[in-house]
Formats: sequence, structure tokens, C-alpha cells
Amino acid sequence: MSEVRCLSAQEFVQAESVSEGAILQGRDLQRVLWMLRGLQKELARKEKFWAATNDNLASAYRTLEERSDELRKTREALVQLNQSLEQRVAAQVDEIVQRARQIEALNLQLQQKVHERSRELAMALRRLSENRRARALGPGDVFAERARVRRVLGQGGMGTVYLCDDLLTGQPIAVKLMHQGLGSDSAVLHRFFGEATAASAISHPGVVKTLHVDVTSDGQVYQIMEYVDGIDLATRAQQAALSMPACARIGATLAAALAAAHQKGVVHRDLKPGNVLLTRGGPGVRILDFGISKVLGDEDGVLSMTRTSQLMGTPQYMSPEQVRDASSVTAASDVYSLGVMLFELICGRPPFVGESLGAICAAHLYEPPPSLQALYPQVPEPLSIAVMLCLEKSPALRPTAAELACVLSALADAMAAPSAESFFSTSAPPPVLAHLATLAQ
Amino acid sequence: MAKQDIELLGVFLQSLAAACVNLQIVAQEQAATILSTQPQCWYPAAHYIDFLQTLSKRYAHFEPIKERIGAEMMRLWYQHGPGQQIIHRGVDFLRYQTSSEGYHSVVRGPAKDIGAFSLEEIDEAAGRARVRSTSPFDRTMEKGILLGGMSLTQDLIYVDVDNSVDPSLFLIEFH
Repeated sequence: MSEVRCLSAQEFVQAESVSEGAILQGRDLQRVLWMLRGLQKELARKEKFWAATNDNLASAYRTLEERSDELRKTREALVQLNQSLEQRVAAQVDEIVQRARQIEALNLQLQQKVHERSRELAMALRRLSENRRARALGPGDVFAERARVRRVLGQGGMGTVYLCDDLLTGQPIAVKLMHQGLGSDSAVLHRFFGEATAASAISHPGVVKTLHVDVTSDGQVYQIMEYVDGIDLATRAQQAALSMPACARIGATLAAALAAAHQKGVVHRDLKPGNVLLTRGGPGVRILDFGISKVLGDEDGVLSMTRTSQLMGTPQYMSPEQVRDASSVTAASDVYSLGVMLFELICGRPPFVGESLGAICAAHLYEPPPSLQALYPQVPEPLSIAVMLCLEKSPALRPTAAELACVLSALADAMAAPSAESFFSTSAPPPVLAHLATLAQ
Repeated sequence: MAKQDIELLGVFLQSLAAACVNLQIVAQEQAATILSTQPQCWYPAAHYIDFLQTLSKRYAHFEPIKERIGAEMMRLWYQHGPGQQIIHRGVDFLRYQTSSEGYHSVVRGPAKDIGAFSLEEIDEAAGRARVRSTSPFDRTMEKGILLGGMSLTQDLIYVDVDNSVDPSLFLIEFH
């Protein structure tokens, strides 16, 4: 039997092993008991603490897993979406490229066909014009199954203008029959139809409207315009001088019509009193033949000198840039021509006169215009300033047609000028002015 | 609780934050604001309350953690604060709660707002004591403070605090 040995609580706690006969008793036993209970309590508290934190950790881990899973799925969806988008974009780009190629091919085919047809047309017209001589139309003649001729209205460098009755509407119309030979040049034809189309787009009461442009079966180019009962400004000014208010009002109406044309990109290029009509009805002033002069030149609108004298009339109204290079004609050139017309209306003579074409052209280029106020002191200063600005050598210094219309309209209103249609008639002429001069032919 | 009138000593807040960091309940940077308080300055109790509310939202079972925080706070108060000058035996911590002396050393404000944390009765021979709390603070954390405070000197071999019958009345057994 092993020896019984009483251990103290301290010895019991510190011992690595306890011999068989060792005992605890009394206070030591009680102490060890409390120690064990204390440890038990502490262990239980720690267990609860770790359970709570582990629980939280597990929950956080689950949330992390769920979020990772969500993130992975979102990433996969984004990759798929990206791939799908790339495929769609590539497909659309391919389609666009294909379509563009198709359009390009169709365009080339179309251009070829137009070119061939133009050539065929020009050849047909040339043959016809070689085989036929143009004959003048007389009263009662039916033209192009569209118009019955009443009488000749006028003749000029480009052709003859007839007053006709429209067989479709019964209304009076003006038909301009171009000179034979114009239709034989395909380039001229092309430009003619292009310009006529552009001019017909101008919608302003101050512009004589082109109703139709075509070629007859026997190759004659013709233009149908609205018939305007009027008198050209050159003839009217010869009959009786126009007052300052009248000049301002006519100038304002002309400028407004020009502004409308310029807004459509159409430049007249040959503005002169012969191309302006004073009419009975509103607005009282109408401009003829927009863009036609471009047709008569080459691609850049340059006319040969021989044709110039025949077809364009006098150079008194040409701008400096037009004299220098016809291809540089712009809307500002029309404003210059209008300025020359107004100068002439006010004081009875154009700003530049000369014995030869060359002298007049040189004056436009190099000489300053004479002072309107000096030539005609009664002219109101604002009107004089407006006209002289139009005659600036540099196009950039001239007012636009729209600006000029505003200024002249205000001046006309200030001078209590009546509307322009009142100037059509000379039945109540203003007082004769001492320095009245005839307008240039 | 009218928390705007109650203030806590900086060292109390620091021990709270440090306890949470030590127990790896929060990262150091998350407790940086409270850790940067000055130990001898007074701060609104809102710091303490907001901090605990933030923590409680993260844990489904926060009670055992609060108890452990309370105990850890006392350990830090003892090791890095004035504890060692005041407490030499586990029972000294209980006696330090007489007339809320210990409580008032770290909490101040209007008496009706801060309440009391006071030793009502102690029998050293029997190993029994009773502490009553009328403070506005968390009872589980106060239980942890008692458990931790009494274990500071490691002279007691058994400490248990029970407030299961009345949460505001802590029945303490110690040997």
C-alpha cells in the first residue's frame, strides 16, 4: 500500500503528476474545488465569447462567399455582354461598309448613265440643229403643245421672248426660246438646267418665277416664266426721272429680292436696268433672268470677249472682281451692280462712263467712283452713303443685300415713299429735273 | 439617456477602444478617433454610445462580447492606468465601488443623469458581495467590468457575477 500524502492546494496545482497515495483534504480540497469551478466559469465565458465571434466570422464569410459569387456572376455576365456588343458592332460595321460599297457602285453606274444620256442628247440635238433652221414663231402658233403665241415681247442676246397663253391653265405666260445652237453644247445644257432649277427655288415676289425649263423634240431649249405686265427700268427711266423717294423704294425692293436669291445660293451676275421690271401689281419691282449668265460662260462662268458684247449688254454694271475674273463673282457683285443702277437712277448717269469697253472696265478696277453728293447735292446724305458703300472696290466692304434692303426701306419710309408699284405709271410725273440724262442703251 | 450631459474620462474611452482592438473586434484604424482622446480630458458619452452601437450592428450575439470588453477594459485600466495604485487585492476593486467612488472617477454629469454604481454589501469571509447599478450604461458590460476588476490581482481563485434575477443588481461570489 502506497504511502498517503496530503497535498496542499498549491502543490496540487503545480504538480505535473500526482502519486497514487496523494490526497487533498480540508481547506486545500475546498480551495482546489473553487479553483476548478473558477476555471470552469472562465472557460464557459470564453467559450461564449469565441462562439459569438466565430458566429460572426462565419456569417461574414458566408456573406463574402455570396458577394464573391455575385461578383463572379456579374463579371461573367459583363464579359458575355461585352462579347455580344463587340459582335454586334462588328456586324453593323460590316453591314455599313457593304452598303457604302453598294451605294458607291450604284453611284458610279448612275453617273455613267447620266453621262451617256447627256452625250446622246447633245448628239441628237446637234443633228437636229444641223438639219433644221430655227424659225420665228408667229401669233397663233402652238409651241411645245403647251403655249399659244400671242405676240413677241422682246428679243435679246439669248433668245426671243413671246407672250403666250398657257394651254393648260389659260393664263398668260412668257416663253423665252433660246437661240439655236445653245442646246448642242451638253456642258451648257447641264449648267442651264442646273441654274434654272436653282433659280426656280427662289420664292420671292420680287423675282420673276421660272415655271418650267425644257427642250423641245426638235432640240430647242425654252424657258416658261410667269408673265409680268411691266416696263423695264431702263425704258421707264427714259420716260421720266424718278424722285429720291422712288429711287429709295425701288432700291429697297430690289435689294430684298436679291437677298432672297442670295439666301438660296443664287447670284444674278448680270443685274442691270434691262433685267428689272416695274410692274402694276405688288411688289412693283421684279428681277428677271437669275443665274442665266452663268450658263453662257464656261465652267467658271467666263465669257469670251466676242460673246460678251453680244450677250451681256454693256459692262457699266459689272463689279471690279467680275471684270478681273468672272469666276470670282459672288453675291457682293450683285450689290455692286445694284449700286451702279441706283447711282444712275439718282443722278442720271452711271458712275463710270467711257468711250470703250476697256476704259469702262479699267475705271471699275482702278478709279474711285465720283461723289454722288457732288454730282447731285439734293440727294439725302444717308441715301448717298448707302449707294457709295455698294460701289466699294472690295466686296467685303459692301453691305449685303439684306442689310441694304433694311437701310433703303427705312430711308424710303422716312421720305414717305409710296410702294414701288406706283412708279410703274408715268401719268403723274414728278417735276422734271434739270440734269435729266438718258439711261445707257 | 440625456447623453449630452454625461461625460466620460478619456482613459475610460481609450480602454474601451483598446479592448476592442485587442480582442480583434475592430481594426485599429476604426477605433482611431477614440484612441486619440487625451486620458485626463472629459468627453461626451456620445462617443462611447455611438461606438458601441456601431459594433452591436455587426454581431448577431453581442452580449458575450460586451462582457469580455468590460473585463478587458479593466485589465488595461490596471496595466496602463491608475489601477495599480488603487487595487492590490481583488476585493479592493469591490471596495473601490463603495459610494460609487470608482464609477465617479470615470463618469461625471448631473446626478440624476449619471446614476450610481455602488457596493451595497460585502462579506469577505463568506465570499459574497452586492453591487447595484442605476447608471445609464450597459449592464452586461458592467458585469464584465466587475469580473475583470476582481481578477486583476489574480489573488482570487473563483469569481462569479450573477444579475440574472435583476439586471441592475449584481450578486458576486468570490473565493
